Amino acid sequence: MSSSTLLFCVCAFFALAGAVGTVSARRPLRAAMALLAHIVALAGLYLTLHAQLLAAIQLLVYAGAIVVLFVFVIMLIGPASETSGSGRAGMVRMTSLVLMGMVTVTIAFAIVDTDPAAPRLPAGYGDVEGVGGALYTQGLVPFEIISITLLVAIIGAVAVARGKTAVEKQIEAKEKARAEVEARLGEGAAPAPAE
Amino acid sequence: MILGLGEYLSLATILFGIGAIGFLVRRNVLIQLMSIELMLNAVNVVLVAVNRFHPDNHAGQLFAFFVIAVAAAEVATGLAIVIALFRLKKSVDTDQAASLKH
Amino acid sequence: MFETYLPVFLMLGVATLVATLMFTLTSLLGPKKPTPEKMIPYEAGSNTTGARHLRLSVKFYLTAILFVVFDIEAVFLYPWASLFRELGWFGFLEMLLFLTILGVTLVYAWKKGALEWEK
Repeated sequence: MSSSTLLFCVCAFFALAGAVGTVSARRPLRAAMALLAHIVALAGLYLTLHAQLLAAIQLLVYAGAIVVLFVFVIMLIGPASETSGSGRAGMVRMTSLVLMGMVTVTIAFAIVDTDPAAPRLPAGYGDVEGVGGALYTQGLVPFEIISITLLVAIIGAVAVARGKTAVEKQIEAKEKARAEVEARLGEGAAPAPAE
Repeated sequence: MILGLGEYLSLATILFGIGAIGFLVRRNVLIQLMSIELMLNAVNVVLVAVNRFHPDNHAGQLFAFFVIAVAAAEVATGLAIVIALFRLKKSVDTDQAASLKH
Repeated sequence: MFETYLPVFLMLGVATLVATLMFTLTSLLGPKKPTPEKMIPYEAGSNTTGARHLRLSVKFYLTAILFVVFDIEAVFLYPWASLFRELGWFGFLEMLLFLTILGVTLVYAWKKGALEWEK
């Protein structure tokens, strides 16, 4: 067994275990940790596929930013982030049928497609120069669109997370009205409270 | 055992399936968002694996690159919506978000 | 080609081993004489007050979002920087446009007060 096959087996095991853990964990924080294990295992899989730059970026963006964001929100929500049981038997039966079909077709393809020889790689495949060169020449337009996507996403996220909901506006309006009444009852003896 | 494209595709299909089942079965929005990440990651594995077996250019790896960047944007927006839902309903259960209007 | 990554895997293995050893050895070897007072969560010697869970403010989330933006920016800057000479002026303008659009994001978040802690 070559070192590449060994790495594939270890990483595939941890990727599957992480995925199952993410989906089945009762506590979202445990799910986030399982997702982290899954992501690190996928970075190892990318190494077996000679995608070194992508493995590094996977760790930087997913493990460094996305999981952190999830953990932040779980902390923000606190104990309410746990919801009680789940059970959608009909849905499970239907999707598992479809997915069984998908898995069967893919594994059948894997057995039929007996062409094990991976092609020889050109120089610079998957490293910073290779992928970077392609990114800034072929991938020029998507690259610029990514920045616009991020801009829109951040504006949306800031607006949604900071904006006040209707209930909160009502509470605020009530408190304001009460403060006004109290100020009027005080007969203007004291100056209006500074905001 | 020599690694071929099939092993990677089988693994990615199973991972995608786990993500899809998680998204449909769980009712916790946070875990549903994580399941979406699982599905995006499974697609990334397919892109990179196919690129490895057709290595004339880096198209697959570039696609995976962009998928990762879009996933970051998606998570930022999705979690902001989760926070808004939580402030409205005091819960992260998707069954609570059944009405279009609050 | 995996000989290239051998140091990384060695480091991973050693780090995991050291961390596991530290935790298992302290829990195995350390003397434990629990009393009810010792089992109370430690809070500067006084009795604990307040809720069990600390609710964080949304401001932390906004800061985390800004971190994500700059993380993606850094990820795209690194290959660009290592290819700076080959890409030349065209690559420079390309990256300038990218950075300008991401800069607008920062300005927006700034205007919305995502960077202010008081209030």
